[in-house]
Amino acid sequence: MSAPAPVVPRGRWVTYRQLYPYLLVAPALCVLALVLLYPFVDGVWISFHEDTLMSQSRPFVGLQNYRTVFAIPQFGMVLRISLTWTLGSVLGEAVLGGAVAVALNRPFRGRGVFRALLLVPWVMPPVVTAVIWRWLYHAEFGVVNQLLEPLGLFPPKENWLGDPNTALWAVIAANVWRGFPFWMTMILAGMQAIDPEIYEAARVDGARGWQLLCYVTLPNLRIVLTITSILSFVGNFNNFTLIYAMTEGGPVDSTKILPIFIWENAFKFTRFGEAAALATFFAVVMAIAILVYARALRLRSRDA
Amino acid sequence: MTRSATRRLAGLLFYAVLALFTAVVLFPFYWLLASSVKTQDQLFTIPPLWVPTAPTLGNFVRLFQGQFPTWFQNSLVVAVATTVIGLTLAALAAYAFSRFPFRGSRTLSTLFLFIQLFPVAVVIIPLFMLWTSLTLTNTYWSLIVTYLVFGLPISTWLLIGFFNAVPVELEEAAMIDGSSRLGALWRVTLPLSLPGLAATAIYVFLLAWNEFFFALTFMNSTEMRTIPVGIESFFAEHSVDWGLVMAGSVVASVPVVVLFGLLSRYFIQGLTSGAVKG
Repeated sequence: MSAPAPVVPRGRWVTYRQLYPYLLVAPALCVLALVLLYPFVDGVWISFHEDTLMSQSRPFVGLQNYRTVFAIPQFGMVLRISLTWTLGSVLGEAVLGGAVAVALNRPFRGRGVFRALLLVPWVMPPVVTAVIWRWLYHAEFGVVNQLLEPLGLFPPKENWLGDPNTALWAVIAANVWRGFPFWMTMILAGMQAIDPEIYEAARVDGARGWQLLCYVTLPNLRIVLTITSILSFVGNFNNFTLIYAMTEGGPVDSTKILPIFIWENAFKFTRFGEAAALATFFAVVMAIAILVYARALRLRSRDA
Repeated sequence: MTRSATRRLAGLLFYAVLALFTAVVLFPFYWLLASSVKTQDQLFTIPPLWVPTAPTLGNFVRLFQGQFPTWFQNSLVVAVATTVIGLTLAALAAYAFSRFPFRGSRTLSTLFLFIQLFPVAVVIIPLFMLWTSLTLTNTYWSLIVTYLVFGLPISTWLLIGFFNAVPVELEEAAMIDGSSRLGALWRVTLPLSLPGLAATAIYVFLLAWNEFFFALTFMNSTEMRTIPVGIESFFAEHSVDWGLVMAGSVVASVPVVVLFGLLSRYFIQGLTSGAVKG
């Protein structure tokens, strides 16, 4: 079959074709530049200036905002709470999600239904999750206390979200309930993508039960586990909504994670310069954590 | 006991444990629904009223007599607009990534994935200032444009996968018949990727419908609130009206449950596609 002769002059045709994909990507890139790139650069710029929103001039103050922020006595505490919240949530979600994924990773009737039903906590609006758990944790009429009080392990009428000693663990528990389905879904999909022939071969070599899990399943899940743990770590570290809607960072700052601290400084106390310094610090720490983590995992996989 | 009987018993036990676990996981939703149809007196009983006797829609009636209908409309407008615009932008970009091996395409598409890791708290301050200076706070646009960005990475990646599955020959046939490139995308590739488009659409819709952080920050006036912000504002009252809060949460959940129920298979595919296939 003979190709139709190009109607457009060759030179122009080539240029147009080269340009074409860029034109297609351009609208998306423009939005990204406006809503991510520009604000990010602007945020760093603000962090070096005095800014209270009301002020007309924004004098350059160098590292002043950073010094102020690091000197806030709360700062170390906020970091510690953030870390507890994030690691507690990630670990809880990973263990629970992994266990459920292993249980679901075999053919049985109704598996699809269970997988879908168990994913529901993850797709619900986080504010609804917060509402439900505030009600479950209600000191006097909450279901949690109704079920726990007969056990006699905790003081009666424990105010889980109102007590600084329990609030952080109470929000972590609610967050694990919300987040484990994500781990479950990812691990399950990863396990289903493993070629059954690898298991066959391992069985021929005499591997059984736990050995299959340790020597076949886990190594083959490395990429999925890496991606899932990064997404889960970042998602939890950034999670503003659940804590804000459950405790607003209280009582007495016991659940004040970094995003809430930043938000408060900016929008409650209008200390925009300081909040921007916090946010920039936050972004740098996050970037370093992800890089170190990704590198560590890649090195280990190369050793293996 | 024979071997097959043991196996059957193990199977039954497995089902029982799994069903019990699922029931525990879903109980909070049952409790939300049950609480939303109770009267004030029935909410505050010891022991709790496990099954509501004489369920009532009173809470929902009170809910819709207040400002909730406005909030519902706000949420709907923002979520639908975000979905339509977001899908259009993502489809164009995904088509480029899928069909043209252009310079920088790998870098760009990887960059798209990294946006998922972008800490939102970092951009919220400058974005708020940007919308303020453009007098866009308290408008739908401030939220729509913001949500677009956070939906774009996943939707683009999903659509790349779906477009790759459509044979190029079909498009070429359409183009020989006189169709333009975008015409071929519109008439051939998109209809063939319909399940993929649906999956991507619910993903973006749910993202916009559920979002709280930006909506709380950009919408200061009461009548511009979205549903999540509106529900949260009930807690700011001196004494919490639990019946109202429960009814609002049920309404906020309905579209989520319906969409997820219809398309959960595609949703799961979307959730895992980045990590498992990539």
